[in-house]
This record gives sequence, C-alpha cells and structure tokens, in this order.
Amino acid sequence: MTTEKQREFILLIDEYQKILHSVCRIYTDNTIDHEDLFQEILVQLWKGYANYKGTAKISTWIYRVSLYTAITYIKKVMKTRTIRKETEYESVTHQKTEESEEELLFVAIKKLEEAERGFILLYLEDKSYKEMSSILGISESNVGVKLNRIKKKLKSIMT
Amino acid sequence: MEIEDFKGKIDLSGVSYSEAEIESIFQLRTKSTIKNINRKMLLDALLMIITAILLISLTFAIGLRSRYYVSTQIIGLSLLLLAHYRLKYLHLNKSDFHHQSIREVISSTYRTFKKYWIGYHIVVPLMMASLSFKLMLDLSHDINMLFSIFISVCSGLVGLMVTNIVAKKMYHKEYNKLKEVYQHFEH
Repeated sequence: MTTEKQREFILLIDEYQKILHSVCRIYTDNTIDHEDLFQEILVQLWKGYANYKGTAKISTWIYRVSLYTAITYIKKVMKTRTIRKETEYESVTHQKTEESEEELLFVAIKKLEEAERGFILLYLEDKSYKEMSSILGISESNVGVKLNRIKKKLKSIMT
Repeated sequence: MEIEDFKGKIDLSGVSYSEAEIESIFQLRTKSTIKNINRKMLLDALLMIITAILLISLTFAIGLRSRYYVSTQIIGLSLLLLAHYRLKYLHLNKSDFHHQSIREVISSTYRTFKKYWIGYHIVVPLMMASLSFKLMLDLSHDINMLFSIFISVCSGLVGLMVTNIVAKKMYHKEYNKLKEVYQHFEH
C-alpha cells in the first residue's frame, strides 16, 4: 500500500464518516466505546479497501463493513453491559419530562438485538428497501416484514 | 411521538472528526495491526505448544525407549496443528463485503465456525485414540490387543471430554452469539 492510497482512504473516510458515527452511536453507549468501535471499523475498512473494485456502491460497502464489525465487536467488548442497559432505560424514563424523545429512542434502540439495531439504523437514515436489502442481504419484502416487527418491539419498549 | 416521525429527521451520527483526527486514528491503529491477531487463535496455539512440551517431557521423564521417535511424532503433529490454526484464522477472518451482504458473510462465518466445532469433536478424540493405540504398540509388541483397544477407546473418550470443555470455554459464547445473529437474518 502506498501513502497515496492511505491518503485516498482517509479522504474517503472523511467523506463518509457520518455512516461510521451513526453505527457507533447505535451500538455503543459512551464516548470511549464509540471511539473504540470507530477505530475498529476503520481498521476493517482499511483491510478491505485494498481489494475495493467498485463492484458495490461505496456507501453500501461501508455500511456492510461497519454494521458487521459492530455486530461482531459487541460480543467481544460489551458483554458486561446487559445489566446497565436496563437501569439506564429506567433512569431516562423517570426523567421523561427533561429528556428529549430522541434520547428515549436511542436508549430503547439499545435494548434491541444487535441485528435488529442494524435494521432500525438504516430505517431511520431513510434508506430505501432496495438499499437495505443490498446491505443486509435479505429480500425487500422480508425487510418490510422484519421492520414492522422491530418497530412494534421498539414501540412496546418505549411505552 | 411515533418511530416513523424520526425517519430521515434524526442525526444519528452525533459527532464528526476532522481529517487530521481520522489520520491520527488511522496511523495509530494500522501501526499496531499485529495486536489485532485473533487472541483465540494464539491461545489455541499456545495451549497446543504447552501440551506438546508436556508430552515430550513426559516421554523423557518416564524414560520411554522410543522417546525420540514419539517426540518427533508429537513435534510433527504440532507443526501440522500450527498450520491448521493459521488456516483457521485466515478462513474465519475472510470476509468479502464487496460481493457479499452482511447476511451472506454471517452465514458463511457461522457455517465455517460450526464445521470447526464439529470437526474438533470428531478429529481430536479419533487422534487421541489412534495415538494411544500406536503408543501401546510401540511400548510393547506382545501387549494384549483387546487391552490396547480398551485404552484407545478410553483415550478417545477423554479426548472428547477435554475437547468439549476447552471448546466451550474458548468458543461457546462466540458460537452462540454468531448463531443468534445468523438466526435473526435467516428467519
């Protein structure tokens, strides 16, 4: 790999960093974990960048690597966080008047399964069923079915 | 507020790094790539090396007549296993996100993981049984065949038990987690 290639890669990440941060925010609950996961995704993207031939849309490729890394990373680092998630949601719920609906949504999302969080992330980012299907690898109709199920689950957590 | 109301209107990213920050993160992480080598694989290899050293020491400690021959076999087997660990590491970490979706990568990783899981439970006991059988023959040529078979079967069972304990200790959580995610995508 040349330095030129590295430069190209850093510029690419700079342009698409929003995707990485969104994934990190959905899959982590503090700044340190956010930064750790960001770095991990960066490494995984760099590993795959050498072979990038433009067969998939660049954003699709970034979403795939980022979500996959987040889903598999969580099992290594965040297995001790299960108990904290429960208590956090309760404390945010008690402060409902002070906290924004957006924060409540984030806390509720973190109570979903890892795979479900990926679906809801793409949904909230207003991705089409076609794009979601390409990133996740399931049919468009199945995306709809799963999304409805996840939205219902999310609603029940939030109420 | 409904979940639909947040669609496309919420800023999920929260933060943004400068180009210089991204570059420093990148430099820091790529320089320490060696640290990213799968720890489980290293543990596997380490465990195997320790076992090999112990077995070789044992052959010398008990003054086995064919200790050089047996030790050479153990070293050969260890080298074979080391090559296997390297291949396994490469195999399990090979993901092609240019051509494959998340579901496809998860499915293939899960299937590979499962193959190794089952494979270990078959190969290790068989290997232990055959090695102990061979060792019995090496120790004495006029040994009772039925007794040799009995010892081999026992060794195989011990091998199965040890494999099960070690595999569960090292991979059970990962295996289950991968299975869970796999099922989410498949059903």
